[in-house]
Amino acid sequence: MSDFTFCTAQYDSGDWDSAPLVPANLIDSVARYTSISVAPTGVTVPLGSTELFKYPLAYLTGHLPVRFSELERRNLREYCDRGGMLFVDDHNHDVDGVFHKSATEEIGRAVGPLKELPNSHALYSSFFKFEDGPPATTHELNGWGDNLVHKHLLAVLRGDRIAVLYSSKDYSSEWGYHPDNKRFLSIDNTKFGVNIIVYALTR
Amino acid sequence: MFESGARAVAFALIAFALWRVLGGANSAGAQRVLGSSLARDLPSIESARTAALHVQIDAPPAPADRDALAAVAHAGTRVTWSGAAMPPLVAVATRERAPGAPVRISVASGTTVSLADGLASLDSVNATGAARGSTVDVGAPSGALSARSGAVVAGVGVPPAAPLHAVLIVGRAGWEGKFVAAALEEQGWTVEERLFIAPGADVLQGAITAIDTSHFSAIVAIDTVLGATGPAIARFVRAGGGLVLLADAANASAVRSIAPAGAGTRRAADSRAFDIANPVNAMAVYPLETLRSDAVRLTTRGSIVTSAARREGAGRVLQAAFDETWRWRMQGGADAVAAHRAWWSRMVSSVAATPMPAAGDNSSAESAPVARLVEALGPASAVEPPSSPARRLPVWLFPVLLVCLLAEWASRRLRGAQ
Repeated sequence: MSDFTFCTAQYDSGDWDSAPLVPANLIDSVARYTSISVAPTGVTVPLGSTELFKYPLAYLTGHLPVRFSELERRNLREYCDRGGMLFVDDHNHDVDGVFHKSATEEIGRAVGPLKELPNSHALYSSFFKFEDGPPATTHELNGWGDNLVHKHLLAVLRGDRIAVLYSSKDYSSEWGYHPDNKRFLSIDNTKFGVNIIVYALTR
Repeated sequence: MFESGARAVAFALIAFALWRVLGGANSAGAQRVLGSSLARDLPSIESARTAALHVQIDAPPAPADRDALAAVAHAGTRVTWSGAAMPPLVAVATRERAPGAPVRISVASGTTVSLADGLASLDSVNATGAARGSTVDVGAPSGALSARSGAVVAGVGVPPAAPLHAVLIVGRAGWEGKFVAAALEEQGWTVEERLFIAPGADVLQGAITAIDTSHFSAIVAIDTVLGATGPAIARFVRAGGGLVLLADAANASAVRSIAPAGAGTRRAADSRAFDIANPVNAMAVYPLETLRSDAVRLTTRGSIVTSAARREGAGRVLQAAFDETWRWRMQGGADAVAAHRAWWSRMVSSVAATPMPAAGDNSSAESAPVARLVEALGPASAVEPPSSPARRLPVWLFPVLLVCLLAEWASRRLRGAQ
């Protein structure tokens, strides 16, 4: 059995590489809390490439408007139909920003409409327990930006499995720091990232 | 003296008539009956002890009538039969132990065979090719299934749909467990999981209580990490459960004693492409080594044994060398998802625990009526035996008896006796 490899999806438009520290930080958390064999470094794979199918979980983020090419759209639809899961995080911490508008539209076109994911979903108990649903980020709490806590994540389901998980909570900023700096946190804020990975690996 | 003699002759004639009617005097003849009247004639045939009986039939008789003729033959009567040419026909049905599996009807004949259930005709099968056989899948037949070829009708006993229990997947959390569960669930299996994530932290799906055949039909071990399930697996298999050992799972200490073979060192795939005729060649393998003497080799890749199976107690163990079968689903061709799903369902159904057949099993249906007729009565007779008239009492018997009785009566009247 090969190791779990964290995959960042690269798309033609926008700034797909806006959160370069997130992969290393989540890899560190998976290794820290679980016995899952994890590759020490992540990979970056074009969304329109067949290489994407080697990594059934992919992370996609950015600040700028997103426009998928036809190839990217087709590839993403096939990827989700086969059982892959795309985790999309809006790196802007505002409401109805350009990334949000364009990304949700593109996801709807490629995979299907996003719907609110209930806060009782198995995602919130796949490893750590998050009884109130998705953990709030500091950007939501300190009023910087939209001054609003997004109560739910959005998702496109295939059967009862999440095919696309969409967050407006800006976890990309929340988790974008060097793993060594976790020691300065009283509560590790990447634990929800571990849940997303464990969920993807088991459901 | 005369009266006594006449009386004695009369009694002797009556005794002769009774003996003739009831027994042995009739046993020398031959009788011919038509198949259409067989059911009506059988009671008299059975009591008559005919020396020879010939049945003229156009279609195989009903099983009860055929068995009655066989009994008559065993009792000493020479039973033969003849009739119009009846094509040999056999039709049997099987049902895979998988959710929603169709009824597969296998037909062997030399002619075209039509299939019907209790409601309507289903299909016709041309079984005249070199193989003289064919198969038809029927989704959900309603009522009794039958196959007809000319005048020959074979009943097709349909095995009842076996009640299947859940499949338990055990191993490390990873893509393999996820996609095996997805494939089986999409194929209709109920799946429960115990996937190891961290010490003391298993991901559980389903209420995994007792590991026994009343809860699970099969267990799929995807690697050597069996955790708390390990000790119960061997007992589960011996009690009739099925076990699929994937990749190097056979090396787990809890199942090593019941595995068909050991798992060798991992070897990379022969090919990187899954969309080829044999996509399993694109998977890495843990070759099966040191096969047990009672293990059956199922598949090979060159000199490498890639799957084998054996029985353990009342259960079955299938060992497959393949690693990361999920890559087939994700990276394979256009039909990879369906193919991967079907492949996994076949693996599990090949070992799944089989409950006892439920009441209502139509296994007594006559699946090969011509063959059963030949088995019971022998092949058709080329020459029909001459029929002899039914045995009757001699024509002289009654007049002589009457004369004797009248003479005895007249003698007594003439001498004044009352």
